[in-house]
Amino acid sequence: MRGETVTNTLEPTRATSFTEQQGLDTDPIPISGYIDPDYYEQEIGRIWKRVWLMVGWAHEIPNPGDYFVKPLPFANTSLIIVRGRDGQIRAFHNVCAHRCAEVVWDEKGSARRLQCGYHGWTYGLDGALVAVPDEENFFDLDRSKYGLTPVALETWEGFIFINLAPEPPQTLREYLGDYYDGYHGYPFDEMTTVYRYRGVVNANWKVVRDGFLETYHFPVLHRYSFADAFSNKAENPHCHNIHYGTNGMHTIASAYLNPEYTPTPMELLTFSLSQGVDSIMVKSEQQDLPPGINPSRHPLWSADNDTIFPAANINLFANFYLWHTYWPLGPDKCLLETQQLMRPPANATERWMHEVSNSVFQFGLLEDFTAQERSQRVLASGAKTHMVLQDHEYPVRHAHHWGQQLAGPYPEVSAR
Amino acid sequence: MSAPGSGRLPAGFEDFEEFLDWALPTQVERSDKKMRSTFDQIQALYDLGMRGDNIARALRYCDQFPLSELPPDAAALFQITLSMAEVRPQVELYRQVHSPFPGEEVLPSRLAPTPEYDRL
Repeated sequence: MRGETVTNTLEPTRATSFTEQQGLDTDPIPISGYIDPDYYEQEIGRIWKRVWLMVGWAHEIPNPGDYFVKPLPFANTSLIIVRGRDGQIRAFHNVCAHRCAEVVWDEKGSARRLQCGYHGWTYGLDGALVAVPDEENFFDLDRSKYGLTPVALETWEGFIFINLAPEPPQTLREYLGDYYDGYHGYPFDEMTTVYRYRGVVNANWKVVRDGFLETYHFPVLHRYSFADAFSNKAENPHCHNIHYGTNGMHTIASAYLNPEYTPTPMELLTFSLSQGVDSIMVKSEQQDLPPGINPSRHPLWSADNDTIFPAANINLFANFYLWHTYWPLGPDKCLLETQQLMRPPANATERWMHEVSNSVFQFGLLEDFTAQERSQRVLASGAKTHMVLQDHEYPVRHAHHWGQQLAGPYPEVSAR
Repeated sequence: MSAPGSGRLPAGFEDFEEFLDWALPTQVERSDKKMRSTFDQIQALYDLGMRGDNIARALRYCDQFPLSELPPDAAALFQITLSMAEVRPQVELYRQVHSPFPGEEVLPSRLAPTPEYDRL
């Protein structure tokens, strides 16, 4: 509920603790959830196979027959996301009904029908089995029983979400809560250029996720890259967010913009080329943002960092946005998939400005890799059994709270 | 006095000839070249871009053409300007080619752009 949101000052005291106002305890949290292989399996079954997961954008498959394949190794499957002749987008397990091979072998494409690369069983874009080579030698084959297995799919603001549960416990609208209408009006439909990066991080998916949920680390880990834009030595040295909120299982955090930030020479050049259009330095009051974005209407707003539990978070700036997903690959490994979305470049100048932004983005995330892998390597040392979170790590605590609500409490561990 | 050009770049961009080996079509190639260069080499590339209005002038030249239809000489010029953007974090922020963090190197290839990146 937006009504639960809390706006903090830049100098909060314990008396204004939003962690406590949100009804969460302030105890240390067991780290067993980061390392326990059995608990990992519990999370896959009780969380990842039951929640809505964003797998791509509708604008990536604009025409009937356009498809992409989304491997989901944590669920031992791969999905085909395909737009049908009727314009509807559907999801199917990429598993042939014949001998259970993957049907589609390329990452994306466009086809009139989907033909299995092994023996040639052929499916319509609606998943129906339409052709079987040498069909007369099967035994009373009833084609209507052997279509592709569908997966629940819903779209919202052009985002394609799937849910692996045969009967999802919530609709996407219920799952997204306040986001569903609160983001309406943000120009998602104009920001169709996707700069996508992928990388395997040798860390539990929650270690990586938690790194995206707090800015406490910015002044230290990102001292060379992002810190100066989001903190201020006098007013906000610890890079506090300017607003926190709760939306069901998800959290909202509005990041601060340093009014005294000194752009680098090449940043100044991009401002002069663009009149600041693609910059984080665009003031929020210049923007016509929907009520769900910068909900406190704070003048020193740079971006919202909103989570979509458990899998993703979205960083909404006035003129571009980032979408990060951390797909589990095992107890100590995940795939980070991260995207910057911008308006399509009209010319070389705009494309170049995007590259200036992308180059720093890539290195900032590599800094996160470093710290996350350095955590995972020693988490199982037995030296520590719990982690200690402060008030501004509220979104981290909230995510662990909901993870345990769904998957069960973290296993007890004793000190070394 | 500018040296006669090689013909691989548009007239008026003779200063950029020295950096023709940075005219690489993909981000992965530009990034790899950066990580194999010395700091002096990437600083020299950056300095050329930031001298006068070199980057703006190069981009204005390329803006005469639709982005997907740059002629070869303009495409090479554009790719050199993209390399100038590529070296920005190391020149402006890290002041060195490699990560300023101690320990093993975290290479850009660990978080690589997907192939469609360079078709944009």
